[in-house]
Amino acid sequence: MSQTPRQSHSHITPAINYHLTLIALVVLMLLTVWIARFQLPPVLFLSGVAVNNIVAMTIAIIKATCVVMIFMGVKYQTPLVKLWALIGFVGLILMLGIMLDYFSRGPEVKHGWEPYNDGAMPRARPTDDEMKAPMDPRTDNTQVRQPKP
Amino acid sequence: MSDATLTHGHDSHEDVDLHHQFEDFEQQCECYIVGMWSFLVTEIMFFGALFLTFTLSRYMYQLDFWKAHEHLNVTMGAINTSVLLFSSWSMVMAVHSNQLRRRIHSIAYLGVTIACAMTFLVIKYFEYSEKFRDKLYPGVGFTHDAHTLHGANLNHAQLFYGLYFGMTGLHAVHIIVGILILSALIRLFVIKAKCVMKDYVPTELVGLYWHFVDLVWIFLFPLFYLMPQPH
Repeated sequence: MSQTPRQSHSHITPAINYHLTLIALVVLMLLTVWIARFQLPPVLFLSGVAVNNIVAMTIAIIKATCVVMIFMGVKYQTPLVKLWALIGFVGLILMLGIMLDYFSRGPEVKHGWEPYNDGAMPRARPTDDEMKAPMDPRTDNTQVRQPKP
Repeated sequence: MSDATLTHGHDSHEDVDLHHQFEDFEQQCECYIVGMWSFLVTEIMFFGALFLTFTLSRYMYQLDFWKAHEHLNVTMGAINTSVLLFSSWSMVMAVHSNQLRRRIHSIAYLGVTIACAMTFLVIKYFEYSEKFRDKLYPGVGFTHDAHTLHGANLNHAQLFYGLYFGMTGLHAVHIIVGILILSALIRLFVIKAKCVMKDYVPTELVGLYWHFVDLVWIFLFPLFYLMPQPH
């Protein structure tokens, strides 16, 4: 490697790899736009909307992998860099685990301390009895709570 | 002749800008790149929280979000995606040229990257001005026109546009910061600064940042512009 002695131990990716990656990315982009025009049929227990979403996100993940591996060069990097690059996405997936909490709750069965609000998270509208009931003694119960008309 | 741009005698490691705390050049490179990735991890979490908010809101108000999204321009979004993908390619080619010590090529590719970033912002400007004209910015002035909202619930449409402006706006801020960094990098090449003439890692780090910006858009585009119709 007389051409690049300074990076003699570093990998220099041939430019053709970058050209091909760009073509692949543009093709995938066109593919995702094209597929989004159709309402895909349900598969197994998944609704059609879910299938559409899964296809779109799968294509996005493939594109992201191409960018991270080839353009960001993670594929040719040392194991430490690979680990570091992975950590971010693992953290993201862990954070996505929060969704399980939201999805498993359904509507709240008891009203919260704040007034009922149409724009907030879905929860059951408190009954009249519940509205009249005294609040938690630890909180201020002098206020009379009224549901929004 | 690209060889004419090669500057120093590069037959040994002596011209490497090796700092005293590093064993060798490879370790130095690795440290720089790991450092940049640490920053990118924080960026992933930063955008990740917003993506999470969007996913949850879209799950809860599927129909209203779908109706509100009808007002977005898919063609403009697709053009912007292509522009960003192309800019990512020119960025990686700039790094490649730097590795081969082709200074002029590096400058040219970085210039193309900035041009793409500018194009992205111009298209974004037209998209945003269209939304502002239709009073689709969240707040007291938000439109009540059912035609513009495509029949979506007012509050949920506001939530949609709040996330739309928040996330694409934050992404646009990253593009603007990227343009500034790229400009600074071009200046280093123009004045033949030692750090870029002797080492490709500064260009590589800017590249990592730029590809990350592209990465965010790869997910923003299908999530905002290509929603399937709930039925």
